[in-house]
Amino acid sequence: MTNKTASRLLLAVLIGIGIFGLAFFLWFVPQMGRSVLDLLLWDEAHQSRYDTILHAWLAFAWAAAIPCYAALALGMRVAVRMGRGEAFSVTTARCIHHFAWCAMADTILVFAVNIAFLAMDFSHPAIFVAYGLVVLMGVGIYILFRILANYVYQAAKLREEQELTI
Amino acid sequence: MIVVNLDVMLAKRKMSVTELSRRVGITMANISVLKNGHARALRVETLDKICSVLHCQPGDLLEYRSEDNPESI
Repeated sequence: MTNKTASRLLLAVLIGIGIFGLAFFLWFVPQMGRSVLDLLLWDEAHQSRYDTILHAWLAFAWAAAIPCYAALALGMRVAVRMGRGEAFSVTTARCIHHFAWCAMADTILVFAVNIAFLAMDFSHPAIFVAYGLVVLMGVGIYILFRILANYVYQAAKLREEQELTI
Repeated sequence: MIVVNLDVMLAKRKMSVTELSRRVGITMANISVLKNGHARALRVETLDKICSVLHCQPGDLLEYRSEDNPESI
């Protein structure tokens, strides 16, 4: 696979994730929340509380989407650089490094909000445990991309050395 | 620091950079990197080719200058 093909494929996948992500956060999540709320309509005494919980979860979902979209933008930058044959450069390494930090920012947000929601009785212990897996995955992505950024940086330095060897 | 006196040798041999590039088989961009002192390393193979084309010794091309007094050894 050539650099240009890999770059185009990666860009197409990232754009697809971006579009489906928008549909997920702006349509699927609110719709699902409303459906769950509809199921609880019989409990009219707690209706306003359920509304508050829904809005809190929606705010959390949208806040968690921000680092995801920042990471997506960084991924697109890396894809464009790959197409130009500049995959192994200090700038690419920096982009991957920032990508890792986006994953970590999201992980910290998910972790903190889940503790807060559990403490406020906005969540369920089972959901808290399920999000624990998401947190672990986030930490894993952070570590993997930090390692990748380090390797790309070392490769960029080797390439620079090689280019300046006459 | 190591200074590459390629300009001096080219002037002595009355040879252009273009001709040296063609005869040695390295790009003009790389010769420019060498002349401007931006090169990190110089292959023995390249040095051999340049010396062969310019009929000189490696010592005629390379010179060590102290960082404190860049004008002299």
